[in-house]
Amino acid sequence: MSPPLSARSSDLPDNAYAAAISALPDMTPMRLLRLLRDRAGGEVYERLLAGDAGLAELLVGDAVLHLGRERSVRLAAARELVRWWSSELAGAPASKIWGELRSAGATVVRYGDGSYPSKLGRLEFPPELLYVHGDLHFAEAPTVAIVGTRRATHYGIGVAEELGAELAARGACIVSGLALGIDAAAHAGALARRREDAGPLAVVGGGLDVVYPERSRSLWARVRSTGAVTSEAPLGARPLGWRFPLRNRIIAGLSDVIVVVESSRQGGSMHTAEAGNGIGVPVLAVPGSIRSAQSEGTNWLISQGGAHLALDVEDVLAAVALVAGPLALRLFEPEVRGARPGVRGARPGVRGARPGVRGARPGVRDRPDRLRREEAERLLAARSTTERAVYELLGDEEIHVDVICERTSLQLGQVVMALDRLAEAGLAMSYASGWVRA
Amino acid sequence: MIASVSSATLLGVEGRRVLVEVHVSNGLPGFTIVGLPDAACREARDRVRAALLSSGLPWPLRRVTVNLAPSGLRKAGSGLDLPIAVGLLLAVGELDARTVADCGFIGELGLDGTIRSVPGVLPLVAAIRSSAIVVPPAGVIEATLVGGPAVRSVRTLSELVGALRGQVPWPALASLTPARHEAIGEDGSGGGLRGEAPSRVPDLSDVRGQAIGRAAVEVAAAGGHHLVLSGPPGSGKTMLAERIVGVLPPLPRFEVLETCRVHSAAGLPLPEGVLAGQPPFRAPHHSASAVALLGGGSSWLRPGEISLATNGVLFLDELPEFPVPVRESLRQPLEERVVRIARARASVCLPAAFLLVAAMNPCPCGEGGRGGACSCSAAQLERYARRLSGPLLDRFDLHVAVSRPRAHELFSTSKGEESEVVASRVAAARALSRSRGFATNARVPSHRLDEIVKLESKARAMLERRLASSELSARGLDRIRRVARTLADLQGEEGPVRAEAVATALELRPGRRALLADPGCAA
Repeated sequence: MSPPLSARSSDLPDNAYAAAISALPDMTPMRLLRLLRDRAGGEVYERLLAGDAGLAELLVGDAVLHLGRERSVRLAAARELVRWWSSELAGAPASKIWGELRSAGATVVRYGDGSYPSKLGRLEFPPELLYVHGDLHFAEAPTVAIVGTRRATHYGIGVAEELGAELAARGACIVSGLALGIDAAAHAGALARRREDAGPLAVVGGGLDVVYPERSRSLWARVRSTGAVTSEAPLGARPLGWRFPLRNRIIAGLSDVIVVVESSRQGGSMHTAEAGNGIGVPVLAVPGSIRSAQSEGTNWLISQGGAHLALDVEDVLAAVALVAGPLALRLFEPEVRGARPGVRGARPGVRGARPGVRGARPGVRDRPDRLRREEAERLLAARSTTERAVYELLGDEEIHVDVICERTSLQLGQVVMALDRLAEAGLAMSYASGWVRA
Repeated sequence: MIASVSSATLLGVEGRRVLVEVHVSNGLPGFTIVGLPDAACREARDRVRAALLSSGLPWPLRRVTVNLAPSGLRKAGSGLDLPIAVGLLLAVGELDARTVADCGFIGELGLDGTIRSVPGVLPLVAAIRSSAIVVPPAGVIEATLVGGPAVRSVRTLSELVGALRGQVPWPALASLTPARHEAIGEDGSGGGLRGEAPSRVPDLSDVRGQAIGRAAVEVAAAGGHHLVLSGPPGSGKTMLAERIVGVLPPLPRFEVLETCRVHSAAGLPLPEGVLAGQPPFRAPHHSASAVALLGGGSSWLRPGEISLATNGVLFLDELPEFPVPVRESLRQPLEERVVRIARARASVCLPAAFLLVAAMNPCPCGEGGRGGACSCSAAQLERYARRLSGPLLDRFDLHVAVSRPRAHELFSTSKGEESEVVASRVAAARALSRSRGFATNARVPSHRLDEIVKLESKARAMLERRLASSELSARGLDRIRRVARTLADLQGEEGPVRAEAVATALELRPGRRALLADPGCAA
């Protein structure tokens, strides 16, 4: 059966047809791969439109399609699927899908295209098609995934932010998933210290036009405008649970190094780490308290040999240097070009990385936390004894004002005044249920 | 033969005067009630007949028509039994019209002639405006509170007829009322309001530690600021909320009357504490329906919990567990301090001037996202946060995280400051606020804030810094200024508000970010 000639028009690029196929209902990344692998989008499109039964043969192995039943049952199901898709394609032809993509400002990159991130080739099943907002070429620079739980602690948020900022200031591309918690903190840190020649990269679970979670909207927009937001899911796709493990494999595939900051044993970041280990991407994990549920996964990774220790940015840089080779050299350049002053003025120690000093004194590590301690001590010297007494009680975990009143035997008014001055000096921060050290 | 008797019916918490007209004429024996009676009211016929007969009084075997005027007003309940019976006795000549001149009647009749109580005696008596009033024994206290008409009461219909005919004296009121109300004078003056020990309100001195929680209670009471307490289970949120009543100033007489009127209209006994001037405390469970909370119902329009809490405290424990429509329906009463209930046949306006105190857990499991202890998933936490955001939470001036008390605090023998001491500061602060022309600081409108809440330069700088870092919104700023004013008033400072008050107000403020709430927090 020959397809009608009108099905393809010469103004549409071949990726438009691939996009139309990927936007079909019940299309999964695996089915898309089976259909499109080594075939032109237009060709598959025409065959689908014509209801070509030959396509059903390609889908027979699909895991969701009555796997385990005899081949004839699965083939029948596959044919049914092709028939359904054929009618669906008639309603949403490539020209319409392409128009929607253009108006959403999104582009489509297909496996084998020049702009397709080369690192993804390491995956067993690289995404056949990626929807992109922004510029994917940043992925060719050294890339570091910083991932972790959505339910992060102050400790995790602080570390993720610091790593994101330190690495971004050196020109690394921070890859993450734009979830709340660790993901968001890593990107917020990276954006605060971004270098002009590098940009952040986000891989999201749903369609590019479905911002999730809603509270990340502004962060999402900033990542998109300075780097790229990408997804395997077509426009309008809901961020359903099954998409996230697949999304995590793309994060792993895009990265030279994966850093898990905080994760529970069952967290999605464990998938990312697993995917990374599967394709030989070094995985690092930030250790945490053995009593913290949020560090259970990272501590477990370290103890089981699934991850190396990440005690500071130097550890991450060393890992990048091992895998990225000459590309990683830029990370060790003495001058940080184009670094913008940190938005978090509250964290003086993070600013002004001193790579030169590091090179000169091997063994003595100018760790950011030590720098921060020194800076805090300098600032504290100017504070009153009351403020110093209050500061001594603050830490990584939120502490309630009642407790400060009790431990210092100060009146509520004195304590809140001291806390306010500490906050002004950038030494303390308040949250809903208490205060922490900034 | 025609007779008319004064009575009243209840609409919301207000009484409406009703004239009961009874006409007895020759014709086929029958009994008709006209003038929009509801079901209970229409059944009066059978109760009245049985009561008359069992009291040894005649039932006319003639045509009887009862009209309840004004005839366009719906009459609800059984309180018109007694006036119908009296009207009937007048119409058949058993009683002399002069004996009931300028006298009102309220009461339900039992089949044996007993006079039973009805809800709303207080507003009903107030509505009749006659010089004397006959009420059921249980309604004596409420009737005397009105302070106008001479109150009379009898136990049965035959006693009433004897007293009206002058054959027996009216029974002494004290003999009719329960022992605890013996203080009421024969003329009904002043009784009930004095000489009563207020029901015991738990004292603030039982609360150990909790500097912030105690400050919040004091500020809420002094400034009329609505308060949310959030904290893990067992941190003492309910304990604090229950003690607010003890630090509020005693109610003036007209507020006692208003609150009593609502209780009376709801058919509830008058709370002894309220009679003694103590603000009411209502704590409806979160399974309460919107009607139970706001008031309503198909025929009676019963006042709801928010009206019962008027001039006092409405405590909503587990605020997020209240269904969204119920929570959102609180917005209008919070704004207008009355609740309007419209039905097809009637619309009423019930008082709802309450101080809202709510308590909630920081997350569904209560542990507030703390590592290890909290077992909520990220999605649960997010849903919970979203459930709480929104316009209702905007009505709270104070949002306080309560900490769980430490073990040594629980065992310590040292007590906190007593309610009495706090109450005196609260009363002084309220006096300052009244001297500026506002009952409470929470009710200072935004456009008057600049004039009423002047800030010292350091205090201003503190707020400006937070506005610049958009840690504080314009609306949040207004709230902080009102609360800071209250804090200064509590210190007895009338001048510009000092930085310490502002810093404390900031610590008590709502809408502070939670750790997981704001992904872009660093930027």
